[in-house]
Amino acid sequence: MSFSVEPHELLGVADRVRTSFEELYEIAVSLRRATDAVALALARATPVHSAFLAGAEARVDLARRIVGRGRAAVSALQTAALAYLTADDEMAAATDAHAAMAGVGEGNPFDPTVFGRRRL
Amino acid sequence: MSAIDRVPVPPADPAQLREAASTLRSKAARLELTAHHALLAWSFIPGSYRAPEADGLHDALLPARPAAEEVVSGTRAACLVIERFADNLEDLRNRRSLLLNRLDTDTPHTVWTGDGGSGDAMNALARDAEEREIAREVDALQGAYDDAIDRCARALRAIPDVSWASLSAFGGADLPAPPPSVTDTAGLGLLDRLSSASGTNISALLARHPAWASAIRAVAPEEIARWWSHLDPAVAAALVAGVPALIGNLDGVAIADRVAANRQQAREHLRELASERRRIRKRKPVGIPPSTPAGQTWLRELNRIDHEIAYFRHVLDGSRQLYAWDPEHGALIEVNGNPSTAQAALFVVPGTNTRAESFMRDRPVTGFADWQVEASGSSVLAFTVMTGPMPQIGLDRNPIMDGPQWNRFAEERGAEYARVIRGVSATRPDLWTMSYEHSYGGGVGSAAEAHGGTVDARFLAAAVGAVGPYEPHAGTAYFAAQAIDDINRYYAGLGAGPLGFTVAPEKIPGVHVVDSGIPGPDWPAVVGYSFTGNPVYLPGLIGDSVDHHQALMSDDERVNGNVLDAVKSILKDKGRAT
Repeated sequence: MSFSVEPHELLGVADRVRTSFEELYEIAVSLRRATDAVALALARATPVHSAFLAGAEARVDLARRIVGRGRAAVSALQTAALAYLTADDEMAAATDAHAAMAGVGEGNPFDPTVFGRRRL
Repeated sequence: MSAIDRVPVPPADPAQLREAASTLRSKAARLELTAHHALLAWSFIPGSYRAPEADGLHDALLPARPAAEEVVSGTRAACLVIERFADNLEDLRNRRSLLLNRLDTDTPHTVWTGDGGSGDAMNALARDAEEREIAREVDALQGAYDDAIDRCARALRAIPDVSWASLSAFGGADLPAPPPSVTDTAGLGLLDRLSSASGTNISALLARHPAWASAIRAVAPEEIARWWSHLDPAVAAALVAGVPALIGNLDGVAIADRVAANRQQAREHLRELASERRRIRKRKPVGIPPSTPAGQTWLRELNRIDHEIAYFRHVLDGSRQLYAWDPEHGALIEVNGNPSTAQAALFVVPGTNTRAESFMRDRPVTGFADWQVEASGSSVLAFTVMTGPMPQIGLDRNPIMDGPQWNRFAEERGAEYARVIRGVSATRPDLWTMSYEHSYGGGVGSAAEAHGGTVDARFLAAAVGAVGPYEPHAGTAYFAAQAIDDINRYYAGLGAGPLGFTVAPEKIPGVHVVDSGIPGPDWPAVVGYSFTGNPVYLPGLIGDSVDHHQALMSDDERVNGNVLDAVKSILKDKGRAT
């Protein structure tokens, strides 16, 4: 297995993704409001109103769930980035031993001399 | 019920429908674009994170793209159907209007006149026929509305539904809480690690993890300020002593702690300077008189290091205070004043040709800030700010990419200057803030606003202005001053791409122009040059333009009295300084 963690880049990308998903959340909220406005305009055309809402509700819900998935992914990435950044000697040794058992290269991926560089 | 009441009301207002559909469509377009940005950024993750556990994470957002497309395409299709419905209703509105007009018109129901009998009977027959006709039209209109409703509902139902499988693939309906900033969390986590180490371990820990410093410096100054304010004073002191280069340049750390860290840096630097001076002395040219070029070069070198040593001795004894000193990056910020009595913070940003030596010469660049502190009676805390390399003019410099017309310096320094302002504001939110920007410093101050580096007042002194399009900050008062023959008047407001600043200071909306009090050009020379075109006048005219430009950084009241007093007055009136 190859390790390659570039913490500074990773943090930057993760924050960009986080910002985009938070913007997406705002859009999902405004999508809900815009959907409500259309539904209100259709209130007197009952069959159209219900047909519109039947489809639109699910789409608004899906937009919200995409945000939820994005947030969960960013949180997981954050955990990983923090683990690599703050990896202590014990963690480094354990990973090193694991890598040695698997016969996939030598050395400590958390070693500052290799940390952040591609090591195949 | 009257005939008019029998006319059916439209099931919706076409204009309202179109407007609502248009808004919905624009939200869908924004969703598409933002989802694209998010997933594009996510696609870069494998490039900076490869590990056994990473593959699952890389793939975690793969279903998000088709799902977003499903949302967007379904919404667009629904908008199209709604708009067609609006068109249908619009057509029917004309038909309804005609019908209403017909009912509204006084139709003569009494056609036949005479002595009753057959005439009345004929009139009754005519009225019945007309009522039947109207009833047919009312029914037909209602039928048309029903038909439009029916077609619209069927078209909406024909749009493919979001499948429940796809919904369930995205987890429950509960939305997880928004994650905090990754950069802030990571940086603060590392600060926690550093602060939990003790004594010399702190510097050793940072030396073992060189990537930590940049991760910590990327944390928002406001977060650093919050973290630092909760720190045990003993731990803070250990960090200052252990990693002074990091703490001394970390925006958001308390002012006194940054000064202490940089004093610690100065102590170490003085040791290096002493060794360097010994090396320079050993290189003294033997048998070469000091008046020769080689002798002059050596003397200049010795003079430079003596000035630097003298400066850092002042830093060490506390007579000069460094708020930032990062020689690798080219940052040096000096602070003057008493934080405990200060009511206002003044940031002075000198422009072109500012470098570290500018702080160390006999008449240092800090003169303007020092004058304001002195004049305020300790109620002003003044920072003279150089956050990184500034444009330089010199024979050994590229006139374009090193010069004051290259606006990329402003972009880079602007982001850094914003962090400085945010750091001071976060640690001392009670301070009223003002930025005095000279020459190229005005471009830095303008760029800083885009990064959240805003102050209560900005004073653009012989400044370049801003790169357009530029919007002044709503909470900032703007002032500008310059001599009428200032050298930058020749190119103020001109620029394109990376060159120049297209918004001259006096063009900033709402700016208060202050009389600089600096004399204009040598008018006889101007007249002489105008009439004769003789270039002999030019050196004097250009020399005056440059002198008048530099005058606005002067602390000499005979040269720059008007502006020194104007800034003092602004600090007094707006900044509650005494």
